[in-house]
Amino acid sequence: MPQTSDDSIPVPGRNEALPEGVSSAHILVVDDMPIMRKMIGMCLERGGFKNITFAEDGDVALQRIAETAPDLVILDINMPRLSGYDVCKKLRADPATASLPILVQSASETAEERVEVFAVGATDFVSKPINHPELLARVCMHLENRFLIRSLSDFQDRMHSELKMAREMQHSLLPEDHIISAVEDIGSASVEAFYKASFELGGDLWGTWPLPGNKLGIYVLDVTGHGVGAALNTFSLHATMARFEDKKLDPAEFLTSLNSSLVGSFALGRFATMFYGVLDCDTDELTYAGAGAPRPIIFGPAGSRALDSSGLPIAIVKSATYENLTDRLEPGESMFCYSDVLVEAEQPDGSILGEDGLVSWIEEAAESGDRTTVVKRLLDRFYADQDEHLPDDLTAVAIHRSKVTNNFDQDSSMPPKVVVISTDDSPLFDYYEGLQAPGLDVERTTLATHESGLQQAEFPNLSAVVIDGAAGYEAAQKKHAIIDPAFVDAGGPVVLVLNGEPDKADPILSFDRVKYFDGQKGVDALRRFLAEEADDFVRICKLKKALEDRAPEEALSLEGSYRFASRKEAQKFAMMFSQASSDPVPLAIGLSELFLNAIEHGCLEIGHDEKGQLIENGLLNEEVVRRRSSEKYRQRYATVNVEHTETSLVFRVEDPGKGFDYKAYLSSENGHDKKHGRGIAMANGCFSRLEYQGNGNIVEAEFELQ
Amino acid sequence: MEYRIEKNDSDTTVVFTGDITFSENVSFRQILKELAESDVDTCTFDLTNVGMVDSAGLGMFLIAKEQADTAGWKLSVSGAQGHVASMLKLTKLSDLLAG
Repeated sequence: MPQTSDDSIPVPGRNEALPEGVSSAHILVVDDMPIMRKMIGMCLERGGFKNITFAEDGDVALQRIAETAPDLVILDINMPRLSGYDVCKKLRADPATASLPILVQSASETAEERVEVFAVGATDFVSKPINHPELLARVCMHLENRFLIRSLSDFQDRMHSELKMAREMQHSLLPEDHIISAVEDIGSASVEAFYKASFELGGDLWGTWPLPGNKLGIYVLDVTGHGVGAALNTFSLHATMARFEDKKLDPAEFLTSLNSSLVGSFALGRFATMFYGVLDCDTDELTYAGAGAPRPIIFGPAGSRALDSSGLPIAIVKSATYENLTDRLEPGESMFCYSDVLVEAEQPDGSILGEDGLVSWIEEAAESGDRTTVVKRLLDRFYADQDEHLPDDLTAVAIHRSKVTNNFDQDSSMPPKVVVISTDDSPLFDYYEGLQAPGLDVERTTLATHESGLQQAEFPNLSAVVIDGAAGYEAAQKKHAIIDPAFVDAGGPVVLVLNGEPDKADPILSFDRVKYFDGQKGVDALRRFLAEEADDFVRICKLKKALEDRAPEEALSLEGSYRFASRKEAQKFAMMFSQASSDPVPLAIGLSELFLNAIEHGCLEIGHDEKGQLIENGLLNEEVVRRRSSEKYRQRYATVNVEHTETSLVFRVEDPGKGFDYKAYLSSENGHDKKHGRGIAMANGCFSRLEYQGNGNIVEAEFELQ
Repeated sequence: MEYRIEKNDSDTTVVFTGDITFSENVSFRQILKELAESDVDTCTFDLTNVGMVDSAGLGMFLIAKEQADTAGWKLSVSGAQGHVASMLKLTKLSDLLAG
C-alpha cells in the first residue's frame, strides 16, 4: 500500500492544484512487481491523487475493473499469465471499457513494441524507468480529456433526450384517437393521417374536432423555421386556438382572432401558414379560410381540384383579415392537406415535386387502389426516394368521405315519422297529443282523411303507425287501403292501441305483424314504446339499404378477433360479417343488435330506461358521442371473436359492462316484455343459438350457413 | 444560394441564384449586414434565377422588409417565377413586397 508523503511533486505545466474531479479520479495501477506498484502509487499520491487501487496481475485487474470501473488504468506490459497486451484487447472488446484511458508502461522500448501497444488499443505509453513528472503529466492529460469528453457526451445525451421529449410533446398535441373517431362518425368518413416530426424539431401541426350542428373542423399549420424555437411557437399557437372555441364554426374569424393575438409574440421573420375548414355534414358544404398554407386538394370521382388557401400567414401583420370561401366535399370525395416539405423536398433528379406533380401523384394513387389508403400509397412513393430524416416535419392528412352516407350516428336530419290513425270521433284524439316528443314527428289523422287522401303515401319516410283501437278494427279490414303494403312488408311497426289486453278471439288478430299496446299504461309509456320501435325500424332500413349499396367484395376469411367502440364500427363489422351468408340481411340485423347492445349497454353503460328516454328526446346519438369522448368511457371497447365451423359461424361478443340477469330473462316466457328483451328478441330470430355467459356481458351466437 | 450585390448610385439590386431555404440563414444575414452598411435608397431582390423558396426563405424577406422600413429605404422583389411566384402569391407576400 502506498505511504503518505509530504514531498509533493508538481505536475509539469501546472501552477495550481489539481481540480477536485481530477484529483479524486480512480486510478488502477497494474504491475506484477510490488516495488513498481509502490513506486507508481507514491508518485501519484505526491502528484495529488487520492483514489488509487492496485492489481498484481492481468486477471485480478480485469476482475477489479468489472467490479468498479476506474477512470484510468496504468498497465504493465510484461506480466506472467495474462499479459498487458491481452488485458488491453479484452478491455477494448467490452463496450463498457472501450474508451477507458489505458496508460501502458514498459521497460523495453523497441519501435515494434510501441506499435504493438497502440495496435491493441492502449491510449498512451510511458517507458521504464518511470520519469515521475512525465507520468503525472500524462495521467493528468488523459483524465482531463476523459472528463471533458464525458461532460460533452453527457450534454449531448441530455440534449438528445430533451429533443426527443420535445418531439413527443409535439406529438401529444395531435388529436387523440377518440376525437378522430368522433369526427369520422359525424362526417361518415375515415381520417388518414401521417405526421413525422423532423429530427431537429419543426413546427407542423394538424387537428380536427367535432362541432355542434353535425359539423366538423379540420386544420393544418406550419410554423416557419426549425428547432426548439419553431416548436415553442407551435405550442403557443395550439394554446391560443383553445381560447377561441367560440370562433371555431367560422374559419375566417378563427384565423383573424389567432392572427391578432399572435402578432408580436413570434420573433421577426417567424410566422405560421395555416388552413382551417369546417364541413357541414348535412349539406356537404365546406367553408374554409387560408393563411398561406399549401393548397388542399379535393379528389374523387369527378377528378381533383385545389382549394384557394392563399392569405397572409399568421403573426406577420396585425391588421390581416381572412376571408371565408366555400366549396363542397361530397360523399365519395376526399380532401388532402399537407405540409410544404412534400412538394419542396428535392427529388433524385434535383427537381422538386411541386403542386402539379403532387396532384398527378394523388390521381395515380387514387386510381391504383382503395381511396381510403391514398395517403399511404402516396407517401410510400415519396419516401422511396427520400432520406428518412427530412429537414422539416411532414404532415399529410386526408379526410375520405364514404360513398354510402347512411350512418347510425348521424340521424340529425329528421326525427322518425309516426302516424296515428283514429276514427273521426275517437275520445282518445286528445290522448295522442301526448305522443309529441323532440325525437318523434307525430301526425294525427282520422280514418276519413286517410281514406280520401293520404293512403299509401308515406313509406319510406314513415317509421311507425299507431291505430286507435276503435278505428283499428276497421283499419284491419282495409289494411291495404290505408297502410302502405311496402311499409308492412319491410317490417314497419304497426301498433294497435287497445283498452286492456288483446282478446285472442278478436278477428283483428288476423292482421299479423301488429303489435299490441295496452292504452291503460298511459301515453308516456306508449311514447317510449313507439320511439324504440321507430328507432329500430329506421336503423334496420338503413342497414338493408347499406347492404344493397355495398359493392360485392372478395370472399374474406372472417375468423379472428375484432374490437369496436363506435356505433359506426359496429355497423361496419355487422355488414362485413353478413357477407358470409348468401342472405346477408338477417345476419346483419342480428349482429347489429348484439353489437349495439355491447356498445350502448356494455361499453357506455347507458341503461335501458335511459336509452328509451334518450331516443324519445332525439338525444341518443349525442349522448353516445359525448360518453365516447369522456375520460371514463374513452378506453372501453367491445370485442367479437368469429369462428367458422363447417356449417355455421359462431360469434362471441364480449363487452366490459356489468352484464344483466340473463337467467331471469331466459326463464321467463314473457322475456320479450322485460326491459332487456327488445334487442335480444330481435337477435334471437336471426340466430340458431343465442347463449349468454358470464354476467351476461358475453353472448355467443351461432348462425347456420346454408 | 449565391448572391451578387449590384450598385447603381443609390439603387441597389441583389441578384440571387439557387434555392433560398432555411440553410441560407447565415448568408442572408450577411446580405442584410452589407445593405445596412451601404447607402441604400431602394433595393430590389432579383429572384429571376431562384428555383425555390421555402417558408423560412419568405421569413428572411420579411426580416429584410422590416430592416428597410426601419432604415427608411424601399425594398421590392422582382422576377419571381414558378414555385417562387406561387409561394409569394399563396402567402400574399407579393403584395407586401410589391415595393
